[in-house]
Amino acid sequence: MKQLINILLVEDDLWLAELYIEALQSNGNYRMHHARDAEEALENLDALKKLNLIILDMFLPGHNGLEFLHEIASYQDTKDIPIILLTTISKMEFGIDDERWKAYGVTKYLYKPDIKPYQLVSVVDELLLNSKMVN
Amino acid sequence: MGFNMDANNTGATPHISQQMFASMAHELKSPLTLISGLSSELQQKNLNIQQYAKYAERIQFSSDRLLGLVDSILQGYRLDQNMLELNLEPICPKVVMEEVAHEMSPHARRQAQLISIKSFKKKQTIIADKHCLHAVLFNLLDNAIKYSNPETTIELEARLRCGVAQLAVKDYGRGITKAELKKLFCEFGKIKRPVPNWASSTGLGLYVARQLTEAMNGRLDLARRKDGSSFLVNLQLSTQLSLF
Repeated sequence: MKQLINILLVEDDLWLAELYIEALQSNGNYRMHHARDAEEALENLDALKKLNLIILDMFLPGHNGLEFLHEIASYQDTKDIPIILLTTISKMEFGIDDERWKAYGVTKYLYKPDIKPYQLVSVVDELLLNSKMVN
Repeated sequence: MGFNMDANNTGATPHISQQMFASMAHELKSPLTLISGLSSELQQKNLNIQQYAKYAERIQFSSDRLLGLVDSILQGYRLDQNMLELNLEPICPKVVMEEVAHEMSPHARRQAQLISIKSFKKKQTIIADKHCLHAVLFNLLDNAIKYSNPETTIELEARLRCGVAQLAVKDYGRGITKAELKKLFCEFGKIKRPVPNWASSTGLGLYVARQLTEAMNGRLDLARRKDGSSFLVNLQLSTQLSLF
C-alpha cells in the first residue's frame, strides 16, 4: 500500500481550505488534515509528530501564526517539521527578512494572493517529493 | 482612529492614514484571494459539473461580500469627511435584519453556522438610515461569523430595552478577553505586536459599525459572555407604526 505523506493545513477560511485540500489531494500523494485555528492544531501532539509538513495561515482566530510557530518550535518532536507560511501580507509589508523567518521555523513564505491552488501543489511537491525531507 | 488622522494633514484634502489604507487592503485581499483561487480552478479541465456549480456559486457569494465590504468602507470614509447624507426615517428593523442575514447566510454556512432572527412586533419601527443600518449589521454579522465556533447559531434579535430598540448580534465563540476589549474600538497601531496591528480583521468593521451607529444617534455596546459576544446596536424607537 502506498505510503501517504501527512500534511496539516491550518486555515480558518473553510472555502479556501477546501480549495487547497482538494488540489493537494488530487495527485494521490498526500493525506490532508485540517485545523481551523492554532488551538485545534495543537490539540493532538501525537498526531502533530507524524506530520511531514504544516501549511499555516498567519491570521487565525485566537492565537496567530507566529504564536503557533513558537509553540511548535518548543517541542522536540515537532520543531523540525517544515512549515509553509501562507499569508495575505507580503514580506515587504511585514518587514521581516528571510533569516528571521527561518529563525521562526518557516521553511517557505508564500504570499496568498500570488499563489493559485495548483501552484501551491507545485511548491509542496518541490519541497516534499523532490527533497530528502520525506523518505 | 479615523480616515483623516494623519498629523500632517491640513484638512484641505481628504487623507487616508497609512494604517487605515493597509487595513482596508488586507480586508479586501481575503475574498479576492478566494475568488482568484476558485477562478483558477474553474479553468482546470478535470472538474465535474457539481464542482463547477459549487465554485461558481462561491465566486458569486465572495464577490457580494467584497461589494459589501467596499460599501461599508466608503460609508465610513464619507462619514469621516462629513460627506455622508443620512436619511433618518422610521424603518422596520426586521426587514433589514432579514436582508443582511440572507446575504450573509452562505458565509455562515461555510463555517457550518446558522443565522436566526427574532424580532419584536413587525409594525414597531425605529429611527435609522436604512443603508447605514444595513452596513452596521453587515459588519457585525461578518465579524460574528469569523469569530463564532463552527456548528453554532448566530442570533439576530430586535428587542425593546428601557424605551429604546436594541438590535443584538449574539455569537457563540471564544469570546473577547478584557485585554482585547480595550483595543477593540481604539485607533489602529497603538499597541506593538509581532503581527502588524492593522492586520486585525476586527478593527475596521467594528470601527465603521460604531461610527455609523453614532451617526444615527445610537450607541454600539458590547456584552462579553463566557461563551461568546453580543454586539448591541441601540437606536431610537419611532412612534410611527409600519404599514406593512
